[in-house]
Amino acid sequence: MSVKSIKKGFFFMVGLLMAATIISGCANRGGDNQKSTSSQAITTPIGQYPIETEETLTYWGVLNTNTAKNYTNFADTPIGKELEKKTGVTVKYIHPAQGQQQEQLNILLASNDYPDIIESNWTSGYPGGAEKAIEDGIIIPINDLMKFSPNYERELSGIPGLDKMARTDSGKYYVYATIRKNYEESIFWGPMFRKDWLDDLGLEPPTTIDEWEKVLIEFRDKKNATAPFAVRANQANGSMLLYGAIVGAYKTELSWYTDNDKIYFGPYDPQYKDFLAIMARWYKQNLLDKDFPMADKKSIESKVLSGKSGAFIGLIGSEMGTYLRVMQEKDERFDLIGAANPTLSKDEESFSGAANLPFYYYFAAAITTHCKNPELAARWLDYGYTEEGAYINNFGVENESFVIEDGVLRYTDTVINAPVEENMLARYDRFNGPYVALILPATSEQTMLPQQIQAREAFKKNMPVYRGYPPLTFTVEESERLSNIMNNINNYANEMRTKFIMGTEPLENYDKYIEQLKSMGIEEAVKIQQDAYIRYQNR
Amino acid sequence: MKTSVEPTSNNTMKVSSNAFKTAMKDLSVNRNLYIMLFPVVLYYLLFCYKPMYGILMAFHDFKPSKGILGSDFVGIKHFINFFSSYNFTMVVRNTLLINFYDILFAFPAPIILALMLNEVQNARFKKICQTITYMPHFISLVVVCGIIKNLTESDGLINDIIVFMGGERTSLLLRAEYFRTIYISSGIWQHIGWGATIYLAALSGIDQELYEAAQIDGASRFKQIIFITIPSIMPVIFIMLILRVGSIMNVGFEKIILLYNPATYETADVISSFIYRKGLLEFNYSFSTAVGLFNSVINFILLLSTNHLSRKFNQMGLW
Amino acid sequence: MKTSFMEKTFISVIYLILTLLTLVTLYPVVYVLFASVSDSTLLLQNSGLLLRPLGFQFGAFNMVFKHPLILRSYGNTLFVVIVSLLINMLLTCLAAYVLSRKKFRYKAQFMVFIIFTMYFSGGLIPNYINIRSLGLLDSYWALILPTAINSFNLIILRNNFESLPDSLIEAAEIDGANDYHILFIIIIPLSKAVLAVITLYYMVGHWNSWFSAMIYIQDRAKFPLQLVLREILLIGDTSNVVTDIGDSSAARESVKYATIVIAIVPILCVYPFLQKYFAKGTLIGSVKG
Repeated sequence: MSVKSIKKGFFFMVGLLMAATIISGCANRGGDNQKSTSSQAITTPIGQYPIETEETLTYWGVLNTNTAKNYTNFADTPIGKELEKKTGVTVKYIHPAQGQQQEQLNILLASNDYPDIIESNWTSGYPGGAEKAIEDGIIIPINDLMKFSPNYERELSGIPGLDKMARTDSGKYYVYATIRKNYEESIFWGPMFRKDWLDDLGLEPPTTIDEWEKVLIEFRDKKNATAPFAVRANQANGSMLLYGAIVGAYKTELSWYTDNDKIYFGPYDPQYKDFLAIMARWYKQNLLDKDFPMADKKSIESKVLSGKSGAFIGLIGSEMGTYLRVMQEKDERFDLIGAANPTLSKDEESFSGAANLPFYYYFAAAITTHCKNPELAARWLDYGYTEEGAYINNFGVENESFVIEDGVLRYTDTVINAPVEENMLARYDRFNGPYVALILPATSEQTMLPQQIQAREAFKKNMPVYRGYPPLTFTVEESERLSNIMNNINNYANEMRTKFIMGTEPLENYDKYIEQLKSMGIEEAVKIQQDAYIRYQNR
Repeated sequence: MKTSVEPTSNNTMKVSSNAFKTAMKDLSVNRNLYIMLFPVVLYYLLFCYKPMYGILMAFHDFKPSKGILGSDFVGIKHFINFFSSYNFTMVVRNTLLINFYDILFAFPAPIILALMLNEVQNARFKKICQTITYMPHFISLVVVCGIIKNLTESDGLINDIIVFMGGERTSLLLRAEYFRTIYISSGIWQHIGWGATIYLAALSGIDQELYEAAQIDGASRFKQIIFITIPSIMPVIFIMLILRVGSIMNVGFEKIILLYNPATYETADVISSFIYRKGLLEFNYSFSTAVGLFNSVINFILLLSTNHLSRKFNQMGLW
Repeated sequence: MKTSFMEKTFISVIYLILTLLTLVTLYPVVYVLFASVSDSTLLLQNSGLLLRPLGFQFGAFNMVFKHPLILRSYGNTLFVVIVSLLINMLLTCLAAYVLSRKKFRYKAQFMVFIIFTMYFSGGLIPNYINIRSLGLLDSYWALILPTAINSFNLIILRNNFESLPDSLIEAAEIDGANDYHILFIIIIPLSKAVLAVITLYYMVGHWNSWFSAMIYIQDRAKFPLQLVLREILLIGDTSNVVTDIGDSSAARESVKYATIVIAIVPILCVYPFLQKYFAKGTLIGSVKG
């Protein structure tokens, strides 16, 4: 190789590098410019589909893990295609990497260049809440757009109290949330037991804490269960799935809860100590999984399937259903049964439970300040709240995945009889987003095992009242103060709960723990929450 | 081509026009060098220095709609928040301790491995050994942490061994006192072979004549290692050490987050996991930038001083 | 020789330690391999060591190849790695050469210029804004150009170039060779071992990187393999449910491991090729201490 050719090659590479930078720069800029064409008025009457328009929308949102097994973009799914056909609007979906959506959203928001619609948890996920997101110039209030969304407006007034949840304190509507039409049916989790073990031992599913203890002792002694009761504990935001079922017996919660117009922080309650005491006792007697602070979905599954655990708090679908289907092949006797949350005495009702709000705001679509045509966005989003749109989002394509016979909606055989690996049911479900979520008895019967239906019935007893956290709004100062206090407190309360249960911190120190919470500002946090709750009730 | 590197004394006061003249002269004499450097400088300016104004975020209350420079200036508020936060001392202590033990145990491990491999005459054995020890580096952290959890569980293998030796079963990852041991030893386990590659490359450069001469003098294998091998790879070791010390405030948050739990916060929570919780998840960029800046400044100072010390005592340094 | 007994013990101890170490480090690899061909249910039930596949099957690999993104992302990663490597090696060699030359006047200043960037960076948001303003968002170049030089690798390479005997270069200059000649014809062939290491460092870095793709790439069809792998590994840990549908595909646990296997095989294959450069005595001539 001559020196000259090397020299030439070098210049060539440098030139190439720079050219590449410049070209790709120009190419993309060109793309940006195209976006800013002015929007024409839409002539289609409100509430009628398809909408006649040339314009497209950009939509940022998580692609559900189940959907991602078969598709790379929501637009490619049967539901996405059907929606495009019916609404007449082409939507470009942008999906963040799963498990990283919070990080990715935060970067997107910080960069000040947003798609038209962002689907996220605007109610409690954005620091400072919805009011702050509006003030920060990220999303727009949709009060003025409600006239383009008659179906959403109708759904909001259809369920008592729902309208209140959808607004901020100052009366702003801000998202198109998932509406759980039959939210009383939306019960997903609760305590579950090995039914075959209970039968062998001649036991009934326990209803009180004392009975639980008896059952767990029997499991340990007669069934050689090394971790009779398995719970998931280290899940940052899924505290409902923790020992939530047990804590309810003591008339408290693991986090904030409401009771008689007042808001409380469970780990600051005096009765919380009794809960810790029983858990510590179970831990000491090898009734509670020794590795519980590290437990996750997989380790629970492993313990239940290998017969180390006989009781757990599980999800009806992805846990109970999976375990039963998988174990049917290996061990015919393996069986599970769901039971209501335990209480202290027989005739009580469980304090804590599985009830849900009809306003599900974790995957709610908001229109951003960068949206070129908010009217189109509002009209398009409204489709999910029409009857037809709700069916598509929930059950897929009519005559392909579902049929309506005598007014009853049923899945077709293509869906029901497909092998599990085909993932058919998941292909025809959107899972989350701005629409009316439906649970229909007929489809449940088709897709669920009898044990699952029994479990859901059993869990219905759990709690008639929703005691969890309503969608409160805070002022900017309040939310900053609250997050400063609560980040530290949550961490500390978690740490101490684990230590109290494991016995590394004796329960005699409970008063010290309460003192520490006080010094960290819990009283102030309670007051902020209480004020916001009063405002919420007065909406 | 003739080079004209005149030793210039640093004590001489130079007028700026003089400095400019020297630079221009150097530019014309070493034209090729500057051409070669051009794309490199371009890269650093475009991708490293251009976004650096972002550091200012640490002194502002960043609001996306206002941009970084347009946000409210708050001075050192975020630094004060960090220093006065409830677990400041704990995370700093944990970070430093993990790094201290890591330098003590995990830093020499690949060097020792490389030296041992260097003594192996059997080429086949050496090759297999190298390849296998290098493999675990590529297994995803999620899986490695899954295996660690498996092994340290109350009915895992390590506990079986403990019980066999007359100990008592405990879930090891729930014991704060074992966290650092588990963290560092699993780190060695995963990265020892990978870390050794750089030393193996350095070892390959040693002049074989040196060994032959030593053998004639009757030096034992062990003596050859001490007097020939180690001194020969010392420059590499020092470079690696200086760079390692310069990252003493860093601990990857991912492994920490996968392995820690409320029972081990007191030894496991480090600055990076703290920043991760505060910054990226809680949307508090200004705060996390401030903590990151604090980290960088300390690291940079440490790097400068180790480099200085190394130059003073070993005549070796990064520059 | 009287030391021969000592020497033999010394060598035996080394062999013993190395054998143990090899076995211990082999385990995670074997674990992943066995898990990928095991029956998922048995795998979940098992809690001790995994010393053989549990219920042999290849279904997991089938499912992996059926995944809508895996093969595509494989191609994406290959493209990014190859293009990146070319740019990396060229720029790093150039920079290392210039900074290793004594005649270069502003060596120390440039070293500081470079090292400074190892510690201070604008952070996520300004980097993102920078990439966007360069028009690289959602393009492979966003994964390639920002990592064109790794300062750590540059320093290692520069130190190696610097340790080459001056006499070699001086002799070449007397013969009239210019800088390109010296770098490409004299220095690079002499630095094969360290270049092999640097190539490996860069390659593995690109192969394993997912964070910048997570930030800069929006089109899922452009995702690199590692990002897809992460999604598969972290599946099922979602805590929010609207409609909770069962996922009872029997192979789901082993699918995770099968994905890992196909993700690490190529990078493992590269090593033996680079390994030969680590053999003794590649460098002709003496080395400056």
